Amino acid sequence: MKTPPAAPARALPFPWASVCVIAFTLGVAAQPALASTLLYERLALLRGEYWRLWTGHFVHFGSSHLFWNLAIFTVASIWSERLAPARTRLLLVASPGLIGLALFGLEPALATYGGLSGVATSMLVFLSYTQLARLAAPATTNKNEPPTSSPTSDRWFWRAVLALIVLKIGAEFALQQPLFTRFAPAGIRAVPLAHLIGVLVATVMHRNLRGFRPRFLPRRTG
Amino acid sequence: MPHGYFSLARVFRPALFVALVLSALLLAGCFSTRGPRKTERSSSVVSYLYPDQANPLPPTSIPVLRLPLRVGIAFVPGKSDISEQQKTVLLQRVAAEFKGRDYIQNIELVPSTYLRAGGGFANLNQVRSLLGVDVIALVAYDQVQFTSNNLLSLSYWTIVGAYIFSGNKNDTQTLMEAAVYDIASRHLLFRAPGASRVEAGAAAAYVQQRLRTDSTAGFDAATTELITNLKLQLETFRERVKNAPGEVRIEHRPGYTGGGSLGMCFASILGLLFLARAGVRHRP
Repeated sequence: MKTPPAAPARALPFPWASVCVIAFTLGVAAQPALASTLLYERLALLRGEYWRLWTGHFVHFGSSHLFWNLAIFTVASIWSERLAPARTRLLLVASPGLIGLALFGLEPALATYGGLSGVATSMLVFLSYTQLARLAAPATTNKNEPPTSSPTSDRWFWRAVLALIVLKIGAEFALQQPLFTRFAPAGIRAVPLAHLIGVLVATVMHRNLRGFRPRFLPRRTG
Repeated sequence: MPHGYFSLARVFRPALFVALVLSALLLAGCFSTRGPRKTERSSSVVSYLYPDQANPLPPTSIPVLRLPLRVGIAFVPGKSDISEQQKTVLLQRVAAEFKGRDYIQNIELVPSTYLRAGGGFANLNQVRSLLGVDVIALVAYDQVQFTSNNLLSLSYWTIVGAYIFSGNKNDTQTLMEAAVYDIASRHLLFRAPGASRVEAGAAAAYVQQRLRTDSTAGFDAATTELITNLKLQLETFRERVKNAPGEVRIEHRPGYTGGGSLGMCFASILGLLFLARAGVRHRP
């Protein structure tokens, strides 16, 4: 008796949105002249240059600043986009703007801001949520998102990642030593609020848009 | 006639001799064969800040440092002053060492004309308003120069010896001190000293010139030590602020630059977690 052939495993989607963001960030780093046009600057925002709310995240203040932010973002965003492409792409579009908007509203003393860490935190949190959701219900696959091989119980790992992020943000708020914060160029300090907003955006996205798929995209069959 | 001529010479010879001796004595007197001499130039932070107060009251409020700091640096007005150019050079050396630190926005060299003797905190508040500085480093100095004669000074009697032999011994002792004050709260944040001693010999004709050179060298050497001590005291102050946050309050000036940064430490911990995950998954 012949067993029916196993259905071919569907290829994971190409993470083009993440690749675009990474390329854009590297492009901005390669062309420092662009920084003055793209950087989050409160005065420029008040003049009506609203794109800076979104683009400020892609400007960095040094090679070390760029490297570590981009390293974490690359892993989190590509992994996340392969698991939940639609929501990741929406998050990639929404989180920079929402973080920028929150900084504008909640941190009026912040004159200039740059760095991808808020978005990277958002992607990492979203990836952790997505993985935890898959582990909680391995049998139910979202028909809008491609099935992947069922992982062994990695719940502890993703919980540890989330706990690490929460601890980091808590420590940044509580034990801030702004006087001697080591940051590549002079006079720049870390902004934990950007990370916190990143976590909130990812949480909202995960909780409220499960199964999200834009109408203009064709539905997957089979 | 010849007879008369000779009689005239006989009359003037003793007078010529006396005149020569007197002029030699007078010239030798010009080349300082007196005892040790002392020159002093000094300024005092206490006299400048508390001119008429025997027991100044300690400040009561906690200093609030708004970062990044705008720092002023000035010589305290003193008696027998050193030249403005020399002061500027010394202050520039101190300022250069502290530029480029992330918690210092700018360092302003305050000209002597902005400070008046005994001006106190009222004068410092004027400087604060005029130049927009929050913290000021007041540099005071005390330089004493001694000149004494040694055995070679006997050669000065020959007049020529006063140009050749170093019969004078100069001793220049310099003490400098930088006291860093938060102007608003009148708090002394920290202080650092610097000292030097320069010894040199000089011929009588060049004593004053040599003293001026020694004075400059003394200030230079004392400034070098002052800078080293200032760096040390700054580190100590940093630790103090970390360990006793109630002593000094740190705030950020509106309009700061912020950066979102995850950093190597966070990435490393994530990496270790990931390695642990891989290890757990591959365990049989």
